[in-house]
Amino acid sequence: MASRLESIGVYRDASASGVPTVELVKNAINGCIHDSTHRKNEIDYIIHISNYRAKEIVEPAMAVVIQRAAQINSDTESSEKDRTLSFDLMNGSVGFLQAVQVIDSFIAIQKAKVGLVVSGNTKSHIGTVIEPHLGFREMGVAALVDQAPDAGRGFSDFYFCGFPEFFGDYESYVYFREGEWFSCGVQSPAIIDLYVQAAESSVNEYLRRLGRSIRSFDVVIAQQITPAFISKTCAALGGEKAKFIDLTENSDDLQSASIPVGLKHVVENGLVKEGNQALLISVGAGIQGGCATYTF
Amino acid sequence: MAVHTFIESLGVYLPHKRVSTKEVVDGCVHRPRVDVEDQTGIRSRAAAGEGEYCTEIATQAIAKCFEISRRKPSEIDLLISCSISRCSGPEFKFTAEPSAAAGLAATFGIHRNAMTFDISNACAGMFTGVLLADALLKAGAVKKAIVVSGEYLTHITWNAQKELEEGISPQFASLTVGDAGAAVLMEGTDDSSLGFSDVDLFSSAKYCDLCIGTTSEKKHGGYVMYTESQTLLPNLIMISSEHIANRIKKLGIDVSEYNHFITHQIASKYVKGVGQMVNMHLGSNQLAPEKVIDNTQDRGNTASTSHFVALWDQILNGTIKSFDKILFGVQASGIVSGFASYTLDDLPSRIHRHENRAV
Repeated sequence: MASRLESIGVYRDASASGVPTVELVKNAINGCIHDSTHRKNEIDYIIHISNYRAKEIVEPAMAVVIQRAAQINSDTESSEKDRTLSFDLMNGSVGFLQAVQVIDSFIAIQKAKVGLVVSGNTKSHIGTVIEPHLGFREMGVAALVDQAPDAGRGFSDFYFCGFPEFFGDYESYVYFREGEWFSCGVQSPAIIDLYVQAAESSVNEYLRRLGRSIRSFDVVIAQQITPAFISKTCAALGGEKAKFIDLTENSDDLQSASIPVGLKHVVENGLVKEGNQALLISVGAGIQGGCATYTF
Repeated sequence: MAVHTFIESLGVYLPHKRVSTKEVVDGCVHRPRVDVEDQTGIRSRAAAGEGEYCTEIATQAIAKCFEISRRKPSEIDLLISCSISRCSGPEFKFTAEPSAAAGLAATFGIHRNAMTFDISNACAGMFTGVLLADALLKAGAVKKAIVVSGEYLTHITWNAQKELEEGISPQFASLTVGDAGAAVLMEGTDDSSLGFSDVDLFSSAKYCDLCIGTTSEKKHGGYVMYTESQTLLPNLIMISSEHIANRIKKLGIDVSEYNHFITHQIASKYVKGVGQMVNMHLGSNQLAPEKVIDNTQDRGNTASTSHFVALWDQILNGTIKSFDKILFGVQASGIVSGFASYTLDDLPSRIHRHENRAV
């Protein structure tokens, strides 16, 4: 009983920077629901996964604010009516696959039929930005997950791996000093190579467990960090460059939006057909790696 | 596939520093008009000491959890950190990446293939973590899970002392919080007489702006919490008590078989109010007042950890015993409402043995 991505909405306002997370995500949800066979009131869970928001709000969960803005069962006061549980899941770029696995588990135990994973990273950090982050593309993404109509389609074989030896090699945080807030990103000069190393190690172990080779996949959607990360990861894994999707637009990290945007791209551009399989590869701070298979 | 999930171990950490409500009130630039201790029933709370932040508090809770557990860190394949406050260092350092869970996994040598992530859902955070662990365990995605929260909250109290306005202040609730860490180790069981028989939560999002935790705009910086208590609390009680009563009726739960009711620990009057309203929705006094656990007096509101701090305290004082049955009520800003029904194994006896306080 696998789960699949039933609809993906993407919203990007190329003319503006610092658009609030809620606005980015609300627009993405509208597109997602427009293309979906599901209605908003069927959504059982909203999981918000972006790390960089317009304002430093620690309570309530950003997902609840998004739920209200998108008017998804937001007026429900009774457990006996259509209702939604919203919460944030934060784990950088690996958060998307983890959120999908959470919904996949809810579907498997029949505690959900439809879940929505949303992301809306934005650059309007509080205070002065010093030592800027690697840089990421501001966009809203909404991915609607439901049960695949038949066995053998959708997500399968989730795998996660931590690399605690690299824990301090990427960190982002805010702090307050002498009357001023600062947003700060600290990263190893070799961060891209460390991400490649994490991806290589994670994928090799994943493939070993599945008894497969990377060439057995029709397409590879890796974390969209930089062109260098994608080409180096491809080379390290002995993959075929033509199968590795690159949407980075010359160094524009898609962060937690990487996998859903990549999946939308290959479907809309006819790069896959029914029965094809994608290898999904996430890496993020921690350093952590994640893999899954998606069957179209 | 496991039928139920249960709490194999529980660890709670309370910072050693104690602060009385009188000290909190005496430190306010503008003293609140109401008697805080009388209004809330909170006499004192634990407060993080020098060098103690969310991570340190969560670390101590997990360490205690492992001391009591029969499991080793290498057996854990899911770690969820649920703290509201992500304050991880001096100067109000709030970390966005990497996740606190990844750091805690590294500290304890948890298997590198463990799934680790943070969640945030206000005071419903730990129960949201329990819900996720329950689903991942039952689906067979993981076998052993730790759900932890290290709440370092009193920094909003120190800010409220400076910022509290005269009259009714939206920062009044900041005077009631306390610091605590709690960790539960969960696993599956085929024994349907043990563990969680139901965990159910939902968000009533139209109330999402009634309690906001954010950065202070004052010169001293830090974080603040603005709460419209007079609107939030009645709605929390109404929505949650109806939810609890609905689950009890829907699942055919015989309340008389349950020994305790633990709801979110905000204040004494609030805790009692939830119990009374559950009875109102049930249409009878099935939930006897003596079953309603009030653990606020010397803990304050410890946010996402409050149910598990109450469970720990009431096990240690002998009120909650092995194989007792507990109903949980969850309330949080959002508004989030939740319910859980739970049957203990011999965990209370094992905690007593560990703490050298035989029953």
